[in-house]
Amino acid sequence: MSMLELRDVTRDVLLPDDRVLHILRGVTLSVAAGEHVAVVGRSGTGKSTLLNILGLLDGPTSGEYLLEGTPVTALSNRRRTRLRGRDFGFVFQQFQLLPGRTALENVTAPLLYASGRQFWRRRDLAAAMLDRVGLGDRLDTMPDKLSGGEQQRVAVARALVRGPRVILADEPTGALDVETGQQIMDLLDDVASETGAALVTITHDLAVAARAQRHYRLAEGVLVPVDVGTGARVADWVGDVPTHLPAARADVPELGPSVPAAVQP
Amino acid sequence: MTAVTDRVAPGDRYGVRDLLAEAAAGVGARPGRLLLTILGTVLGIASVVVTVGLAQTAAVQINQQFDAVAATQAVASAATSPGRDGQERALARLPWDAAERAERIAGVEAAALVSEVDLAGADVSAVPVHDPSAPRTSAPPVLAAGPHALEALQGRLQQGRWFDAGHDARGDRVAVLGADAARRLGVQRVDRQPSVFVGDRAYQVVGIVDDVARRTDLLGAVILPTGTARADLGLAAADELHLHVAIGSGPVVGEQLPLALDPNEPDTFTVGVPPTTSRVRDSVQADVSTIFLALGGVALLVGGVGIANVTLLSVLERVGEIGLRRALGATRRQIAAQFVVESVVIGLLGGLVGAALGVAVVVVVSAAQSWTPILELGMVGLAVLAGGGIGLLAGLYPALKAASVEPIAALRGGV
Repeated sequence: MSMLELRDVTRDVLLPDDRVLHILRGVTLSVAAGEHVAVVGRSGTGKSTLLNILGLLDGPTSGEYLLEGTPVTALSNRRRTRLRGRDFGFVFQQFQLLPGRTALENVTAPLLYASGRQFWRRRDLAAAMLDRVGLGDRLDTMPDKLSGGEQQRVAVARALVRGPRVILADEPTGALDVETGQQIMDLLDDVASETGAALVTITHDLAVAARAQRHYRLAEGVLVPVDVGTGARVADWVGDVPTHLPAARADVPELGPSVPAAVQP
Repeated sequence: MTAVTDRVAPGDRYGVRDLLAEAAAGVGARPGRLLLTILGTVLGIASVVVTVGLAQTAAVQINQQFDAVAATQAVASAATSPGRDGQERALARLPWDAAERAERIAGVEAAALVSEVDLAGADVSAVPVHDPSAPRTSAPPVLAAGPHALEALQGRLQQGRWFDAGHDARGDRVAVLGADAARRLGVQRVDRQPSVFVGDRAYQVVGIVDDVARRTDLLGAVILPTGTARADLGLAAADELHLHVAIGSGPVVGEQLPLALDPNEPDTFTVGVPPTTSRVRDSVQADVSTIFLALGGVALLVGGVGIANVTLLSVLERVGEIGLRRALGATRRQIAAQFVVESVVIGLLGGLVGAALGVAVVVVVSAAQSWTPILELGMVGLAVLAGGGIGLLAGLYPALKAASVEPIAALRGGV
């Protein structure tokens, strides 16, 4: 059974001038536990909306969203919130750490909304998770005293501390240099495979996307699977290669047999 | 198939302590802003504390200059209850020896019964002859009083003397005239041994009283000894027991007097004793400080609006944080609670600072006037709580705003 499954999901937005904007048009997606799926697309193609729907932050206009086979679109706001807190971990491009709160407090934050053992032992759990991401000695450091990579590590620790079953990463390396981004992705991959969580990465960074087992392209609200095994050029499945891609990445124009070893399932 | 959703625990462990910790962190994150936020509340609370404190302090000063009369009078009478016809009926009678009983209580310096005497149509005049040509005038009322009434009522004799216990016990036909009654009856000098007639009985006038601190109706009346009034005029029951008490003994006397009057049924008497100083203070304070309290109230209102404003601003600023917390699993209710508690904490801080400031001002002003600063401690605590209350009210709308933030939109803006 799939961990999460979208069936023919659409999302329309009514514009102020009464026009209807079709952000998502019939998206169907299925992600299994422990699987890493990447969604690539240019900005403005509905990537964030897709992520919001996956993360129960937004509801589809039509279509079905199943979490472990259970439809969740009809759940009350409150139950969806509980579900989101328990089963989803978010990693954002801009880290979204609480300013003025230490790394430990930031990682403790999701556990405040948990219950039982997770709530009562939240400091220990948060400290252990920070240790896991390699920041065991920076527990009481404020975010603005951390480097970008360290901040994203805190954010990853925060996303993972409740043991989510789905990790949603929205441009997780967008604000990081290439090497740091690689490290963050290594970390996400490792933890996801350790815990058997499904990892959905939304990115326009092809190197990041290449690490996933399955790839999709989101273009004008339509999600198209991309078979990386055919040796198609990156430009074919992304649409256009973003012109602002760092030059360093020009050396991975092709995916397929030549993808880095880390991407292999 | 419902396994996923059923496993979601209600998980409301996120309690007051965590809310307070979050609020403290949220408030402490912007110390400069905090000062501006609480300014209005500080000023409002401080002005209320200063107003009340100075009023209390001033009231004590006034109280010290208070005429001793106000603090030394007491009066007891039989309690009444409405009868079936709606008329008030006395539940008991003051004993005839009430004055002697009362005077045994420590703090009572003089006591005397005072009663109105029903003349049943009898005339009161200075001459026994009925003169048909004289215009009819209404007779002065007749009162019966005890031998110590002069001391109990703080009266002053114009001439002559007050009747004594002997007159009272024997039922001697003597009378003391109030100054107005004497004028009406044409009695000018006591040393000529004039008499007044009540009905057809003559009473020798032994004195004229021209000033009393209480029961000023005595000045217009013919006053007989209580014993005489009982014997001659059939006085059935005493109306009131008037006492002159030592300053400050009012509350004790008030406690003991009913027991002294009737140990078996002390509840059948009502005793009006001098208020304790704080009650006098309160009554003075009420007059002095209404305007200042109103000003303080306006300041508090402004303070509340200030908190509401800044909290609302803070909500708008922290839309990202709200969205993030929602993404982390915070319910709308938890978000709202967080902002309400933050606002209450801000209000409490404002109340605390304001109360401290107010106390300081009261002390400084009192020192400058060489007064003794007086301020009820409970009042200070109340002022702090009032700050918290203002914070609560001011936080409600911003909290609702915060709860309605959509996480999707919020997260795009950044924390």
